[in-house]
Parts: sequence; structure tokens; C-alpha cells
Amino acid sequence: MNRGRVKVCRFCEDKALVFDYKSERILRRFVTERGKIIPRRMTGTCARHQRVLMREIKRARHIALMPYVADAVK
Amino acid sequence: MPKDYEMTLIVDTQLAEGGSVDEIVTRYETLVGEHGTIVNVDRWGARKLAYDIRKRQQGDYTFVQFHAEPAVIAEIDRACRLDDTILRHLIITVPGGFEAKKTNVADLDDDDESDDDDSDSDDTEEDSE
Repeated sequence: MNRGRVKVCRFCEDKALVFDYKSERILRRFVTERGKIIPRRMTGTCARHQRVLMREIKRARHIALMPYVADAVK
Repeated sequence: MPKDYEMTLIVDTQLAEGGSVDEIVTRYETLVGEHGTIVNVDRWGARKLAYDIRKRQQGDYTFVQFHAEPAVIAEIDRACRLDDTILRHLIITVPGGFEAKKTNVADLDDDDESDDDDSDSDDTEEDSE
């Protein structure tokens, strides 16, 4: 995620953007290449949505849709 | 009061003991049906796992949405846990019910990962098998 100007939460901005643990494509954007959850200071996600994001990413990991740890080169 | 639940089942595609994936899924549908009412079943079919589970690299994904009393969940959970053909399972409550939860497949600006291999992993791929 690129730094720079203050970003607004993408989920607050677009209320229609609903996601859950199956929306791997969306969740993937909030995770580093290695699979770590990107802090909200970098993505601009609001606290509430970051919390939801965290929960859904963890669920996605549990059912092996997303890795807990990924190789740096994929 | 019954709640809305969603169960994920990952069935081993190389089954040690008899029975096809479909049979196993049907068995769980029956089990859930006995304890509650099934709203929707979404079969994704075989899919590569993000990491190995019990030395398996792929599993067959099924999502079952159902209404049930909270008390029966423990039983369904137990059945999944004891079953060797189930690689992984997950039962969650759907906050606000199914109506409130409609996953949007049209995702964020698709700039960086347009060559994503499992781009159809969301709701678009619900008709496999």
C-alpha cells in the first residue's frame, strides 16, 4: 500500500463494498505479500472496518483461502 | 431463537475411506437439515489450499447457509471434528442474518492484481458441480 496523503477508509467510502471471509480478492489487498495484515495506518481503514477485516482475514486463513505465512516469492 | 449460520466444509479430495465428495457433502446437508433448515448451499468444488492441511494440497469447498438453534451447533461441530474426510470446517453466525449480508464481488480497483489466478473465487463460481 502506498503511503502519502491521508486516505479514507475504503469501506466507509463505498458502502456497497461488502466483504466477508470468502471475498479473498478483497482481503488480499489488505495483506502483505507474506500474508501479514497491513496496519491501518498504511491503508487508511477506519478502526471499525479494520476490526472486521482482521476477523475475516483470520477466518479466511483458517479455511486455507489465505496463507498464515506465504513465501516471499509466490 | 434460531440464528443464521454459515458452515464451511473442506472435504478431502483424496479420500482414504469410501464415499465420494458429493456423498459426504450430502451427508452433512442431511445432518444440518435434521437440526435446522438449509437456506442455501454453495459448492465451490476442488480448490487449492493456501497451505497444506494433513499433507493435502487441495480440498473441496462447500458453504452451507442455514437457520438453526444455537444449541445444535455443538453437535454439528462435533460431527465435523470427528470426521477424517473433513480437512477443515468453520461454522460462523451471520451477523444480522442473510439479508444483511450480500457479498459484493465487484471488488476494489483492480489495478495491481489483474492476473490473479483465482479471480473467480467469490460468488461467481457457484455452479461447479
